Amino acid sequence: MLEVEGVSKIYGGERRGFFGRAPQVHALSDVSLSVRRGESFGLVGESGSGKTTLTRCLLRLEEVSAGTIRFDGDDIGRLSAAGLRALRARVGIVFQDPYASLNPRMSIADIVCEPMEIHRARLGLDGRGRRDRAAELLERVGLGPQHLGRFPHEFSGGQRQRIGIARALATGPDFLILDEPTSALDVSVQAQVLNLLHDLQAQLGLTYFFISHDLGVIRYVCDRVALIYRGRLVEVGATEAVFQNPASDYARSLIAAMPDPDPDRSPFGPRFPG
Amino acid sequence: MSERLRRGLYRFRRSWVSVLGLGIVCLLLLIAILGPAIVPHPEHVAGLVQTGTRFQPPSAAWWFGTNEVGQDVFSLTLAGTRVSLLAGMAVVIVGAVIGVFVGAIAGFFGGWLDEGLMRLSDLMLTVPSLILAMAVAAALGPGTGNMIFAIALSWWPGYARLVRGEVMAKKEEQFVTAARAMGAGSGRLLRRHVLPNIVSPVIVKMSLDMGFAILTVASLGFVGIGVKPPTPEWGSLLSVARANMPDYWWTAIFPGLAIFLAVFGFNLLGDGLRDLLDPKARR
Ligand SMILES: Nc1ncnc2c1ncn2[C@@H]1O[C@H](COP(=O)(O)OP(=O)(O)OP(=O)(O)O)[C@@H](O)[C@H]1O
Ligand SMILES: [Mg+2]
Repeated sequence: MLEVEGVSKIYGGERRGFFGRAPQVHALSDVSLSVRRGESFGLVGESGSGKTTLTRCLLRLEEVSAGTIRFDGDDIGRLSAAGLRALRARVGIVFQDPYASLNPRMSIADIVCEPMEIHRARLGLDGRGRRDRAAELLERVGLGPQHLGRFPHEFSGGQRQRIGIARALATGPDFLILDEPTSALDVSVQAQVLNLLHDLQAQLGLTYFFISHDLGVIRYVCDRVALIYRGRLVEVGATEAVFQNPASDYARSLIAAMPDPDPDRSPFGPRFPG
Repeated sequence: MSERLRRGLYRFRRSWVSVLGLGIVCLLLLIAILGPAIVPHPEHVAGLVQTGTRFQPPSAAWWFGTNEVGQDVFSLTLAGTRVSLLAGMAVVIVGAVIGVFVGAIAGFFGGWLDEGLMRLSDLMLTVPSLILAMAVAAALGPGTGNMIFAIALSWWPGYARLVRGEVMAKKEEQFVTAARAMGAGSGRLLRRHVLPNIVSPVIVKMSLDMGFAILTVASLGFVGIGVKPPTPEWGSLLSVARANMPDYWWTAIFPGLAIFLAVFGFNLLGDGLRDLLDPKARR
């Protein structure tokens, strides 16, 4: 469904003043990976390793410096304006920080309805229909229509993240980018949000691109995993295989540093109960 | 918001200078609205000359005394409030509208557009508003509309700088990125996400600027290229009264005090509003 081939991203290098140039940052170097329809693909790496940069490239918020990204076979670097709009309707994103990712001046209804407004030609919903769908989405993520008129500051971090998920689902995407969706939350709330994400995936047949620096979370959620270190992929494979037989030194050191690698004793309980 | 607003209001009420500022501004607005209806001698405001009572000092009959043609200075000063306030407000609003527009575009799109617009605003900043207003008056003729236009022309760069900075900071916020990732276009990003989040500093600046705008309007009236007599305006009242100094000081002192009161009131209110809406910017 998603193929990333040899993608590099170099920030900086533009002219600054008469003589200087901004220092270059190699945020991604020759990254290749592919995500299959319906799976949960994990991306693990420490802070600054280029995870968010890759998501920005996937949504074409950033142009890649080299390489290609294909979504359903289409090179996203060559999309027309209409194609780009369709891509952004089909790919939803949930951000790391539930406090910064919701506009404080917009009501929950406006926040969840906005993607439907932007893509109204595609969805064909009028104002009434959008609001109904917003209420439905809120229920799906464990909130309710009574929250529609409220503002983000009235909610806890976990609730805000649920609102962010409802917004990401508003256009009916089949691919969801989750950029550290739980790392800003308390452990108990993390587990709830992860369970919600798991249920949604089962109900809606979503494909997840799940970013985290927490191996415990990745092991709980993902079918396959890639490890990224300073912009380079150091390991890709099925999650259990990587955990049991890490091939790279980096993977070994990460797994060794995990507080408790036994999934049955992880704070999230047994893997996907039921 | 409601919690923050309540705490802000509490702070506002606690600081008596802010409340005083609000009181002065409300009083001035009331006078401006009621205007000629409440002055004791509306016929003087309309231009009646009564040489029999010229240069009466302040007394119970003439609170602020009378001027060189026997008109009641109290009536003229009161009636001048409307013109001065309206002109000041018009300057600030026109300046803010142009400035927000320019600053938002420069800050949001960046690049050569930003360069060009900011160079232009720097250029405007280097020309003193008084000189610019004189040039406009010379080119388009004197008059209230031209004067407002001229002052606003030198006024917008302040707003453009403020808004540009705020927009540049806000456009990096994650909720803006989120909207962009959902496919929102530049217009929507600016209108729905960036601008609503920078209203507070603009409102604060407008209120802080009001006093100075009124002062500028008055100084143009004073040099005789603003509001023309007989329309009463504080600056032109002062200008005429100049010839009566120092013997008939009351003809000058009361319009001058009115200007002072307006500048003072709006500045206090602006400071209070800053504490209320924009606590980060507190000195
Ligand atoms: N707009 C930019 N300009 C220059 N450098 C940037 C820019 N955005 C990111 N970088 C750099 O690229 C590198 C990768 O950043 P990125 O945000 O992708 O990391 P990350 O893996 O998401 O980290 P975190 O876990 O902290 O979110 C960092 O060194 C960062 O400083
Ligand atoms: Mg990141």
